[in-house]
Amino acid sequence: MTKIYGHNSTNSHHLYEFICPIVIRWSGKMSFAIDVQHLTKKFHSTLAVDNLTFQVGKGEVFGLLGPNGAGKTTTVRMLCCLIPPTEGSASIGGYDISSIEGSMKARKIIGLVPDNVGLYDTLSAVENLQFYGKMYEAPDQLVNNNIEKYLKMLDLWEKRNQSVGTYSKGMRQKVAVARALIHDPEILIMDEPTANLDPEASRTIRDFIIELKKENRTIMLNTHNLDEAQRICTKIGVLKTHMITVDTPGNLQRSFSGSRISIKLADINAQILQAVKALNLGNIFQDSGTLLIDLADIDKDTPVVVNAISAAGGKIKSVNEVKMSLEEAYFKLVGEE
Amino acid sequence: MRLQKSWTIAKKDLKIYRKRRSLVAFTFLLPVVFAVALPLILYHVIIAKSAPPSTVVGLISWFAFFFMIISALVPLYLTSYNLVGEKVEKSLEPLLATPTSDGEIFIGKYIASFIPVIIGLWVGIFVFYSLIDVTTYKVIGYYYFPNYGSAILILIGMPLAMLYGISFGTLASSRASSVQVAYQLGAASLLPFLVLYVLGEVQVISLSSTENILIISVFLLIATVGIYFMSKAAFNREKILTLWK
Repeated sequence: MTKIYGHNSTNSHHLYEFICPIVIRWSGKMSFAIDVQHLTKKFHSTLAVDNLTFQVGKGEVFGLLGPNGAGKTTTVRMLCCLIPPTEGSASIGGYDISSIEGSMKARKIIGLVPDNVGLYDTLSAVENLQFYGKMYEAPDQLVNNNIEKYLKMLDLWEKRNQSVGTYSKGMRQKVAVARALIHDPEILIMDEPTANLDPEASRTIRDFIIELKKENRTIMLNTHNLDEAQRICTKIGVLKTHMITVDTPGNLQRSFSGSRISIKLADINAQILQAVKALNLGNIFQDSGTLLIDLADIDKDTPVVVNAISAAGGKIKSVNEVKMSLEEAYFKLVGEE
Repeated sequence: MRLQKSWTIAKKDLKIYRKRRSLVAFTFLLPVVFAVALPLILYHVIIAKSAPPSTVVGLISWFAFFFMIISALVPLYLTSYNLVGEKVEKSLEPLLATPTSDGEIFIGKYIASFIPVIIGLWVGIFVFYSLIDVTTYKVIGYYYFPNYGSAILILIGMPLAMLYGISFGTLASSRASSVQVAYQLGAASLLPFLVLYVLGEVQVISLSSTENILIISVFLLIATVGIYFMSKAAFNREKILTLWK
């Protein structure tokens, strides 16, 4: 494939990343459920998280993707006020987590599903949930309603009085998810909720998260599973000690294919190439009888390109959008670091 | 400090103890074994050697002091299980994520260790007092228990020794990686009692003296408060979550 026209930096997300925080900060109107500013964590000389800045709007499902050791769990622990950041700040639901009072209030509105479920094995699911309901200071009525609601939704109601030590891994994970929701938190933070689960249990948890998404809850999801992130998340952050990028799954895919279209022609001649170049849209590649063109706005620009080719006498056989999978985008992003 | 939170933690731990028979057995078995074994030893001393009443009374007060030692010993295991057990089972992370302070968690753990141990020890010491009275009445001519000193021991000495043991166990737990290690480290708390026991044996101090028991209690109270704050300072959430694998 030969690049025949264009410049190198057309990725729209760079502009988005630059402008978005400024506009939001200046407007002061939009409130974030999670607002992270230059968060850094060092364990002695090891830099676990470096200068992390991102925001999660209310009702958004934010996925944090990254390889092992990228700092995802450390980030979650800092946001859940479990470990203090070395530098930077974060606010959860408007509460500054660096102050004692703020961290107490923040913890009250967070539901955490940690990477280890950490249930009391000798207690039943109901006893575990009742205990956490009290720890989160939720009214008894709400706790009892939520126990019934979530255990039924997660298909555990029949076994609610069995000790969780007798449960399978998937069932324990479901109880951990129910525990995180027992006090109706505004923000749900899940650290690899489907890791090491069988496909069926993973699907149940994933479907459950999709149900929660419909309730307009703010969810932060740490995951290795790119398919899961693509299906559930409205925004994705790719982390490898520092935040590589934050964008929507669609934009992440497009950022690498650059909203590319592929136009298959009966014949490509100089006249056709000239006509497309004259539009000054973006990179143009030629691959035998196919033109690959990067567009800023695929919906608006595709008809313009098609018209120009037709006007130059080109015979179009097919027009397709070229999509890079999120997995390809992720590996490209992480690999470039 | 919200005591309601601490009480919720304590109730949860008490519920776990009820389902873990080994914990309950350890808590009740040791005091009862001592309560029966010590009067039996005393009985054999009286029967076999026809010991004079003054020797018998001296032995009773030493044996009673044993209960102060086991008051510090018995809660060590429960306390170690309480905190290190949570770390090992990874249940500490979701607990620390709730809006609960370290102090509330600590007090909850103290209550959870204190209640079953004091019940076990009181049951044990009442058995001990009864058996001692039965076995020694004919030799000394009166019922030795109850007396002023025994009330001081039951109501002040033993509870304070228990709190001292719990706080020492908590301190050991915040450093140890397993229940066994925490228990072994916590056993160091018994050293002052053993020194006192030896001093009592060689008649440097009198362990039957109510004043001495009160002085020891004051030291235990000071030590308990000091160790409580040391344990709180040693309870590092970051280390617990990042270094405990």
